[in-house]
Amino acid sequence: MNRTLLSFLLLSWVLSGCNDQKPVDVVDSETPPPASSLLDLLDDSSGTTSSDANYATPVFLDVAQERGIDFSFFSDTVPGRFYLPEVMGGGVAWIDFDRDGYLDVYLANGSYLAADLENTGEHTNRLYRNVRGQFVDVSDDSGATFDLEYGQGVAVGDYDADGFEDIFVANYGRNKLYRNQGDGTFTEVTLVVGISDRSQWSSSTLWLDVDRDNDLDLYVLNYMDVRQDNYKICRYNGVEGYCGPGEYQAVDDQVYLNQGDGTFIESANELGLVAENGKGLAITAMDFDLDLVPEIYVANDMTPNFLFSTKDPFNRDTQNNKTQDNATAQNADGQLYQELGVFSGTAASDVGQPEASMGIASGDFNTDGLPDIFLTHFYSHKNTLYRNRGGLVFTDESKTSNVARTSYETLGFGTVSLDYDLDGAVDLFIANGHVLGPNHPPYQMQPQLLRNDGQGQFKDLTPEIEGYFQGTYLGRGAAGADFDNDGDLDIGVTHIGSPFALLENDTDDPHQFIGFDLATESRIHPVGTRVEVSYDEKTHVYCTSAGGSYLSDPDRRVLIGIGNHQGPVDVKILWSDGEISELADMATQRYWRVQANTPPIDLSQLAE
Amino acid sequence: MLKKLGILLGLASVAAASWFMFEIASVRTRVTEAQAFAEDEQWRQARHLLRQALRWNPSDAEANLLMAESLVRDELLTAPGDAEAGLKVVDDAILHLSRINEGSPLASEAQVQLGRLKATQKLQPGAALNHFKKAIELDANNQEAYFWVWKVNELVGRPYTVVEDIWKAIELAPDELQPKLLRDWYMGEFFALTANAALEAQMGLRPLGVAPSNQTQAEQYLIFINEEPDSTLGYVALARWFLAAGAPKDCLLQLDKAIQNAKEPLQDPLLIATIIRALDDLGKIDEAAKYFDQWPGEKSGYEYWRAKGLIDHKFHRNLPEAIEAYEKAKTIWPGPVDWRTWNLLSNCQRENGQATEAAATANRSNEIERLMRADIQSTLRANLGNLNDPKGLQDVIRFYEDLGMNREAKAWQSVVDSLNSKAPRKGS
Repeated sequence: MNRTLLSFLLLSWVLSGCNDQKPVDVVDSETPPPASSLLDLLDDSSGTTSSDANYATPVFLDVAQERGIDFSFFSDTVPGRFYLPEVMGGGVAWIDFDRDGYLDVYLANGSYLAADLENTGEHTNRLYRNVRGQFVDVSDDSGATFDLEYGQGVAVGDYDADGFEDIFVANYGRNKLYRNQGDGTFTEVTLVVGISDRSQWSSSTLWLDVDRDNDLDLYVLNYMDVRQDNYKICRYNGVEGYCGPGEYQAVDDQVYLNQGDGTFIESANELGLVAENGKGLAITAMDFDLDLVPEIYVANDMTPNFLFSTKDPFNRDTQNNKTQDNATAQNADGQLYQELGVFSGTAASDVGQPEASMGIASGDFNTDGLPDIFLTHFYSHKNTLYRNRGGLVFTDESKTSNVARTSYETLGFGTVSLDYDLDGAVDLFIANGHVLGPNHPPYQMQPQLLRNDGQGQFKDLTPEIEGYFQGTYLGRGAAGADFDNDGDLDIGVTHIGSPFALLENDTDDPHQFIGFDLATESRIHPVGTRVEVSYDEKTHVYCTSAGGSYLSDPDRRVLIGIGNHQGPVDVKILWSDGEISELADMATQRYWRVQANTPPIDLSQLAE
Repeated sequence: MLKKLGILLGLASVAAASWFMFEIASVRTRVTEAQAFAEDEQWRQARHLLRQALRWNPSDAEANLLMAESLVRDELLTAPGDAEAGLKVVDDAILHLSRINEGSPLASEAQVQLGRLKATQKLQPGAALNHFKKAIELDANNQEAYFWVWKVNELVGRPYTVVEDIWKAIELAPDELQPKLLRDWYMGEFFALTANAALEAQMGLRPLGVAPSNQTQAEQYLIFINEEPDSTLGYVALARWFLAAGAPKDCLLQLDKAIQNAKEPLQDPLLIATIIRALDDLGKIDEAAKYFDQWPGEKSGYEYWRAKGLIDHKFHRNLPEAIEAYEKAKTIWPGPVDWRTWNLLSNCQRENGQATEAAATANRSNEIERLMRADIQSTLRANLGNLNDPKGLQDVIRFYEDLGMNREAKAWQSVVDSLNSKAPRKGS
């Protein structure tokens, strides 16, 4: 072998053994990008415009006990049983049953859920009479509270138009209607007037003139078919807890049409107020398309929500080659209402997800003259704000309004739209509290107050509010009422495991208000009526409503914050029956009783 | 004297050279003998011969590949539960595989094995994917490389970013394997949580006897983050897990960690897409729009079009552009079954005054939701339990046709045609 070859071989050997293999998993090293924090983008000033940085710190004092209300809802929670009605709580309704100008309060109470335990009267609903801001328990003498069923929703309405408001109690069990005798007592008339006493799980209810014949009809939401013999226990991460709506069947709602003679006939099908798979927990009526005729909105738990209207702006019947009778506003099937949830965009979230809706609040949150809808939802799911775009078209603006951001870590039930500081913007109160049981934290939760900057952007002020708002509760029903008639909205809140809270609004602000008690000849609350208040070259629109929140019924007066405006305002009322009242130079800082074609009555004079 | 010395040196050189050449020539022999031992799973003996071979040719591809195999497959090398020893073996195997240069015909295979080790043993999906990508560059028909690209992307929750690779894995596979792979793909499409249960258990990503769950999925992502903190894959997977759980702030926290720790984080389109979704959920669509403007790489794919739709819809309020973007998104997997995107489109159409189109889109979304129902899926799964039953597979074809997923439908039709052609004819 010659040297050349040997050298070559040696060289080859050397080279093959020393060849630096290019690492096959190399990643070109570069300078890492500059650090930036995404969380820093979530600045705390959201919901506050620069001109809006100064606002009154909310002050709400729980004065329940001090004012004479000592009530705790009896939930009959049995550890380890996980029977769903135990965690749903009860409602609160404001009623001036004695017509003294001060709102009294009715509280639903639970009962025993086990079939072998009998409630002999130790757990009943309660009625407290408001005597100029101080409450007296008149339950036992009223005849309106000895209901041994498991109380859920309460709705107040003068169904017989005698001038005295009556009370309907929706139960887990048999529902009850109590007729106000006008003398401080009530008589139970459920079966006499034709309302079913079938045992079922009813939730929120609504008094409304559904067929526009000038008497109050009754819309009863039914939740689900949950009974002792079919209920289930679920596991979450291996730990037992309450099963949710996905495990149970829906039960059809009922609509009782007032026959005008003090009796009712169930007529949901005939009216078109039917839709599949409704697990309703909240209901409200409001004129969303400004035609003075209210729509009915039903919030369902984990199934699509319903929006019932007497009009169909989407011409669905035409699309289906049917003819709508526009004169009577009946659809091609002869029904007065059609369900427009999907078409309107209010059935589900922006991504089409049916949400676990518990409570409703409505109001013109972005002051564009169109009332919007707010819904409370489950933990780790956003609350939802539907912005009204006109023509019954809504868009889910939960995220851009910051409503979503404030709600991923809460589970909301009752909710109240209120102008806490009377600056003219509609704010929101939310009662929160979980449902899965104490073995699944978080369980008790803080309530929330979301401040509206007037443009429909919300900021959670809860951390800034002392007292009640710093506690945690299993919040359930909530209803707003100016119980002390001082011109700002207070809130009644029911809980499980904590006493009823009466939150007196004691916010210190320089703002003014004007209030209206709208009266009608038929004595029914004129839902659909619109109040326009003009001052400082602006006109603000307020739509009347019925129902809302969760299991509860609020003060029906229209309370309007007018900010820093001093002096009188001009008012135009477009009544739901077509009448128009134009009232110039109305003095503020008082309530007015107004009826079409009659001079308004200054209620502050009456109080004196 | 000098002459004698010279002769001696020359003889020695010749002898040395001859011996050297003999040893070089015997490398192949040794490797061949080692292969025989390996086929009998006599790993120690195989390694003995391979070590000899590698002494003379350390970069011998065949020897290194076989050595790696023998190390990994020899159960006697590590005592049960001795993780440290196990990792040492893996590292040794990786070392051997790394010596195979790219010019070797076995280079692509080596890259696949490197990727497998990085994925399944080192739990480093990012590094693994780099190897598989390399394997494909070296051999565009390496079916196993495509297969592992598919699986690793499924492990980190992003298989839909590699749909073409998945189809390559299916189409390059032998005919008899294709039905099983198609079934795997169905599971990946519709039952992502359990699609890789066996693989995850083998990788030690889940304790023995514990079924896959949302919780174990999050824990799995945490493992990937710990083992490969400079890759975005684990962080983005966990971030999207938080987002799906309704915790967008926690999602952003993970993405912040990705930005701080990973290499070139903002070059990962899925990271950008996740930032956009989380910021949208938190009411910061304006900030989300800024990130959209920085979209890296090709402006295509489901996440890109969906993000564009969202930004045009919610930020720019350019509804026609948004509709166009959503329309594109819904044609790219998982668009055909993502009823949420369909609903965004429907809402956008409604806002744009297109009530009829909005209703039609909403109806289609409802239909998609219906097809995802548990009762329908359980029937399909039962049918897929028997890949030799053409009737049952017809349901699968119909399902995909109903969804408008024609590629899957055609693939399954081929399977059915093949079954029918093999079926014995009546009377024969």
